[in-house]
Amino acid sequence: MTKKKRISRRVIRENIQLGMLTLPVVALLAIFSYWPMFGVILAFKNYKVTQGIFGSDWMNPLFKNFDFFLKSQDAFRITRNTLLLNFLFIFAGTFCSVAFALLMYEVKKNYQVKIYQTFSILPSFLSWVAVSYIVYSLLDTDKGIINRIIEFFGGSPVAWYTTASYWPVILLIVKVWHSVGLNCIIYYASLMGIDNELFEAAEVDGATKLQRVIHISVPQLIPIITMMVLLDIGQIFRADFGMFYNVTRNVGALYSTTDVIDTYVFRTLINQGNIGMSSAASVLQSVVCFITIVTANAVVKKISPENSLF
Amino acid sequence: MNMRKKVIAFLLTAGMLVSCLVGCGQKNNGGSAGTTSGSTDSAQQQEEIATVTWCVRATPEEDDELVLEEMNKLLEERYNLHLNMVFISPSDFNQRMQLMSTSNEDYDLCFTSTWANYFYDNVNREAFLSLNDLLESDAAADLMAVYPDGLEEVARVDGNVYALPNYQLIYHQLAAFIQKDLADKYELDLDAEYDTIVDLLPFMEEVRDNEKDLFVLNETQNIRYMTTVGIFDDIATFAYVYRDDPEYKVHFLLETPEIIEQYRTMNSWFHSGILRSDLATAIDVTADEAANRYAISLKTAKPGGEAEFTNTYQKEYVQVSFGEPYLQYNAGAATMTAINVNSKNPEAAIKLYGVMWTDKEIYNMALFGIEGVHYNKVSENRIELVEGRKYNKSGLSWAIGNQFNAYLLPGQEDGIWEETEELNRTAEVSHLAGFNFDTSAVETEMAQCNSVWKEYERQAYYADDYDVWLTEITTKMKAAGIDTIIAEVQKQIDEWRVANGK
Amino acid sequence: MKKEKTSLIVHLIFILLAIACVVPFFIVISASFTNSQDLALYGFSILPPKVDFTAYAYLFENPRQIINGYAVTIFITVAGTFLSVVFMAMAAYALARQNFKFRKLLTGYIFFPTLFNGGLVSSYIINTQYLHLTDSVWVLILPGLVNVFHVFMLRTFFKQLPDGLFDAAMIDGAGEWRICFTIAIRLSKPVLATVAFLGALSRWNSWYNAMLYIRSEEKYPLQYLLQRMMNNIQELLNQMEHVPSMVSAADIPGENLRMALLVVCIGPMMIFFPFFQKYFTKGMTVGAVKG
Repeated sequence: MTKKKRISRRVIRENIQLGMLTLPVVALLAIFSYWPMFGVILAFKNYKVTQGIFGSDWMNPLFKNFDFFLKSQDAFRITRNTLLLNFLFIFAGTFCSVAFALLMYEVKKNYQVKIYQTFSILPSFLSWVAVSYIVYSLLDTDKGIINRIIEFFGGSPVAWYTTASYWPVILLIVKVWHSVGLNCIIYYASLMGIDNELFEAAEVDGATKLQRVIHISVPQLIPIITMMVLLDIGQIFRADFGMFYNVTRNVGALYSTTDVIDTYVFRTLINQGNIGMSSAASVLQSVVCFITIVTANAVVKKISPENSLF
Repeated sequence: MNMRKKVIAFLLTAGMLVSCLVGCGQKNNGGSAGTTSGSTDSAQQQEEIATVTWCVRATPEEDDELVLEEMNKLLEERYNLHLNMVFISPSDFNQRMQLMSTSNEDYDLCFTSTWANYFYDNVNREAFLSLNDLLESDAAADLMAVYPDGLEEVARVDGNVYALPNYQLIYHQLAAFIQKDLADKYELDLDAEYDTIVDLLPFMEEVRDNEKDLFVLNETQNIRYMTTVGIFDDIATFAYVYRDDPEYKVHFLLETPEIIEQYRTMNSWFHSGILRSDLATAIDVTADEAANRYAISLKTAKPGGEAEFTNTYQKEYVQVSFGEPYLQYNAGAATMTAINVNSKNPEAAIKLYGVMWTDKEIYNMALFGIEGVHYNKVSENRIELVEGRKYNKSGLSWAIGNQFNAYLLPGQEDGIWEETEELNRTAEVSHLAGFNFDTSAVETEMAQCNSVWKEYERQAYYADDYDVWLTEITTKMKAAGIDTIIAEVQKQIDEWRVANGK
Repeated sequence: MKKEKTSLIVHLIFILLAIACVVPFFIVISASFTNSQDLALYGFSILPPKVDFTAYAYLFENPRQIINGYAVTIFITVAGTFLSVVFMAMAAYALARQNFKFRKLLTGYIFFPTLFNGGLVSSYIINTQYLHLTDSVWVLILPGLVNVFHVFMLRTFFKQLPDGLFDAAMIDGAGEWRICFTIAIRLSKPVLATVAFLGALSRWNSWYNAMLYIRSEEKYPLQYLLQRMMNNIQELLNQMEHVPSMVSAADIPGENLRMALLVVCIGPMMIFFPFFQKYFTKGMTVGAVKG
């Protein structure tokens, strides 16, 4: 009896201590994330300054602010581009980052690792505006380096900036190039957590290098990969505006493959500045993201419950 | 144990930091509450100085406070006013103004227009004060005495005037600015009359064939502008009314032969090398302009334009103007000043705005700073800017008052203000003057049409097959609801005609 | 551990990657050393046609703003990253502990904000009117302290630590706080350094809150100044379409100046990188400590 009581008291004490540990994060989220959530109602209001957010009339019909997107003839195209391109980025980005991390793990000299890391992280320091200048210097029809190379080998120059079909690939390359160094560091740090004894034991057992990678390194990375992918999927209906807007130079001829929800909303509302409509777009993004993340998490939970997010 | 103490100490410090922070914030708040109550009192006690906050679209600079202090000395002494001018960088202006007005932040005056801090959106949100009564009041008497007749009509929506246009060149007329040595070399007849840019084609072809290092034509000014000037009135981008049409019939712009031909010409010029081949990506051409790489630039025609061009680019240019000056129905709406609906002291605000029209010294101080520090007087109305000055708001001349009161800078000829004002007065006035399109009934359609337009418009130049382009954009504009917009414009024009007996 | 020779192919791959990453970087640096006329004529290239310092001379003619910008940026990066990593590690540790009863609930609580946000307007009203953060450097730090991504990353990492470690400490009578700081955090230096670096990088590059809330020039971070310059160009071009007044060439900075400011902005961050990198490559592993 007394023993049981003591245990439960210990459990309570532990839980209080653990609860206190989360307190700063809980408080910060309450203030800076949960409190502003009332702003969501703006998506359903016909906002007037004189009446305030709560006093303004509801839209009639209630979802009218959503029409500019939902009833748009481009809604399908934009949704498709956003989801497909983001999916491509997540898939290829993760694959490349993991591959480079595994390769880097094979580099045994510390100074070499440092050199490679330093170089591969350089693109992450460049803002999208800077990247857009670089891409332009490569792809410009007349002065572009790539077209000059094509001409050197006797080919005819390509009008990159007016041919939409190239751009999913160009954007994919740019995105992976920009982020691979940074993401690689995350996976590399995770690999550093592997017990060296495991490798030594495997080597004693005569495992080949590839076998060691497949049976030791990759399983070590699975939890972090799953988590990163899940979190990315939670943002799948939000596009990196800076990249899509700057790198494509906002050329209209490319929209059929590069127009995503964030660029659409920006272009559509920049002249009008309608608060209700921009709130509606953000609510819509949240709803789609919510559905995808819950689905993805459910799938993960089925396969390996310990790796699911919630 | 030691660790735990450290952690507790750390958390305590963090907690103190946060509370200190909130405390500081509250103190600030107390301070500002004090000043606002002060300004409401001033309505009763005439002697007290009223503070006016004015949000202006200009990049902040180092000497802003210094100049403001100097201005306030004069303002307080002469008008019992205190100006708190908030400079908001152009890049941030739209967003900041929208947030300020939705969160009821304190400000009195702000810049608004059809392109920045969008006027109609503000009106729809009821963010601006109706000026109807205020303009009749004593506070506005000085201003109204010098204010151009009827200029404020352009900002009248549903019977209420919501803003006052600042004054500058408000008519439309297009001109070609041509590098003089080229005009001489290829013997362009500068005295001849030219109706449109198309008349210059032979000259442009010679430049294209013989001057390989140059681009022929700089058309970054909106293309629609080129032929529409003097033929149509352009309502909300897409709806066009012929200026001599007694029926006031509204057309979708891509269903008017003039515009279709205009775009077709541009397309053929692109393919024949008159326009630069990387046009799709050439957004910022200022470097090319500065390097004098364009033989011809299309810009707004204005008195003294060639001298200004020559001075800016350090190369001699000549101006060839097309057609006659024309006042669009919304002339002046491109640069206006409005009063916040929640302004604590609208009388002081309008009075201060009036000062910018009536007091040349204060107005010019706001533009150029302090004499002897930021600029030097050359003659009574002419100044020279000091090299390396830390206050340079000369670009504000059209944003805060009447540009025709501004001192002249090098490159601006004597008498250009008088000449421009004369043209403003004598230009042909649109028969739609006084009409205003209220977009609130077609917000969704406007949003969708804007989106299609921004996707396709530029492609008119570089599309491989112009007719395919035309069919495509027309179909997409129809699907986006252009017909609804046209019908709505027509409906509002018809109502307006009945109400105004036109 | 036995030293192994790294295969040549691995080196080759990394050398190619390094070239792909370095060359574009040189393009930017070389553009900053080219005069704007040459840039307009020849475009960007790897080496400047002739070296020209006008862009840097112009930037440092009046260095006060840049020095202030550095000071603010460094302060928000250092203070923000430190607070953020400590707070997030504490929470992540609790979430990783099996004996924490509110684990599930709090995970949901922390995750939800990444999906739903109330939008700019409500945040702005709260920050300016209720928290009075207008023109305070804290508005550049506090709202961004919790990065949900990073909390989850830390949690995943802490979960991989062997339970035996914690149990042993508990038997010794250590409380959760002590275990968190002396065991969990100590053993996780690679991931903490990673999170700190990612956080520092995003703080170094952040400008949006500065645009919304900061009013006095001396409190603007460097990145905002860069962003403002870039966005002002867009706005001035927009203005040229609508207002007949001439925008003088001096108002629009040349591309060389834009690139120079960019180089000035990223330079120091690259100096900080090796400091973090020490931890990435150290190989501070659980196994090593245990043994």
